Amino acid sequence: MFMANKLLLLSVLCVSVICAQEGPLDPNSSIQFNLPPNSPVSMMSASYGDSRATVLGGARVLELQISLTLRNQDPKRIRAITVLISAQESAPGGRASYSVPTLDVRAGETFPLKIDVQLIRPVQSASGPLVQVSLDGVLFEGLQFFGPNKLNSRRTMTFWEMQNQRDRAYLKQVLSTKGAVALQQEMLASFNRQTERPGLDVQVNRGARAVGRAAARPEHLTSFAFLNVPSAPVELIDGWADISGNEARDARIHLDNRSRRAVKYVEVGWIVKDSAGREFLAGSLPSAESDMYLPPGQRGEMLQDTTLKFSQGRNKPVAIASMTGFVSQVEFADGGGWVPTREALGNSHLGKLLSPSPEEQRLTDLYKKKGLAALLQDLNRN
Amino acid sequence: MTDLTHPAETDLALYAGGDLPWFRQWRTERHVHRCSRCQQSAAEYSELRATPSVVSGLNWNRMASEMKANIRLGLAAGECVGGRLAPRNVVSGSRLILAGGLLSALVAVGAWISRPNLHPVATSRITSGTVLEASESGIQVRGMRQTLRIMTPATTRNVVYTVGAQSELQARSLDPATGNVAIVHVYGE
Repeated sequence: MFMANKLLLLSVLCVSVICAQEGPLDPNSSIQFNLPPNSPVSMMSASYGDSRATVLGGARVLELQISLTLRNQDPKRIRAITVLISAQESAPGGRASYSVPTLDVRAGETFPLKIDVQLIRPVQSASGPLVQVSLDGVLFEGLQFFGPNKLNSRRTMTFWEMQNQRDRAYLKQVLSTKGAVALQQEMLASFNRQTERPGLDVQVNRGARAVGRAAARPEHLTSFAFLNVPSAPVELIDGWADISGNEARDARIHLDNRSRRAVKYVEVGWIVKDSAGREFLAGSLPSAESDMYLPPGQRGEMLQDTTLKFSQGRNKPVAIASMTGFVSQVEFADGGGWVPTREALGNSHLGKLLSPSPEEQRLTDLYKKKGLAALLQDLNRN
Repeated sequence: MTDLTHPAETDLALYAGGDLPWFRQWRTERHVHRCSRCQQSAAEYSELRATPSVVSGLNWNRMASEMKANIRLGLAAGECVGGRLAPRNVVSGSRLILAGGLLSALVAVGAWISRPNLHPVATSRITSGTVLEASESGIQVRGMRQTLRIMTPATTRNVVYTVGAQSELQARSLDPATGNVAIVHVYGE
């Protein structure tokens, strides 16, 4: 019996290897680029490097190395761009985006986008382009936006740009008031924060409350503590989540809009403390895309019907001892936004837990690789 | 399975120049895509190849010493992580028959197809059957019929992963070619 199984396995594998074929990919039929009408960027060139397709049994493995050169056709500077990459847009299992949030591209200048995509799909699939790359949004200086915005890239890029401007202004201020040595110290401190930032693995189960929940053992409602972030336009009033071991379910938070503008989106950072007193940034709780509209002075509620399971490494669950929330982003109904000030981050321990802004990450890397002179040159450009 | 062992430094050097036989090139490439250390090594070999061969004032003895030191360092690093990896197969006695080699390669291919990555660092499982996963090599959305993976730049280290409670995964890294930050999202819904 055992021998028969081995022979069967060998036969299957031999058939598979006979079926395995590798070959170059025809980019014209495999990849489609979509730029909307009146797009502020045009495509100057596209190359595909060592893109290839391999057929292995019933699966086709596509490795696409896409290098695009785009030109800014708009008079305004481009600060960020997001492209949508879709393999089968109407079904789960095939949507991603690629963003570059630290651009500074003047009118007429070109810039590269390099995207490596791997797609595994059945050989017997629908015809047509295997991968589509579409422009989802371009953010210009002054937070002006162009694009279909299917992925809410306007909001995402706007928050990145606000954080970028905040940190760039802060570093320029350090340079002008305290000098280059202080700037170096800031860079080193940032680098240390980035390397020492504690990591946490998070598994998200969406809508996990449906089956078997009634039969589950009683949950332990644990209240959130809230960090007061100065100048935040909304105030977190109370909140709780069902905690069981390393799992947190169904977070619910009440908040007041204490600003004079209507709020349409809030994101709450979620810090978890384990039994040993270590703190981790566990993720973010965004308000639902469509449900939030909070007029000035009104109280609202944020709900998440998800289960988050925390661990360090693959088999080290992090038992949740307490949770802390803080307001990390607010979008107003009039299109404006709010992010915590640099001072607010520095005066709390948030700075150690939060990942740096994209611009701070870029400048830290620039300093690390090219030194102070390159950093000064970058900060001094207009 | 077999992907758990690192290629030899000589293979990495040949791989960087595209000089391996096609199957070893293909297999090494699979490994390099998943292993940051080998990515780094391959990138360094590529850079060495890209350096003009005639450079005035070059201290060849020193360069040779540094290369040896780098190789030693790489081998030492490999030994450090060796505890987590399967031991390299050492063929002793009679040689493996061709079918055995073929079988190993096929098992490797099968394993490669069936397991999406070696070191998932974040996972999001959606009730529809879609799974979002982040690994050292990239970030991916895996559905019932297909898997879409966006690779992080080959020589990038220190990728920051973020999980959003609305079924999305984000990987942020620095593109070594441009110095810009690249942020990849995969979406479960």
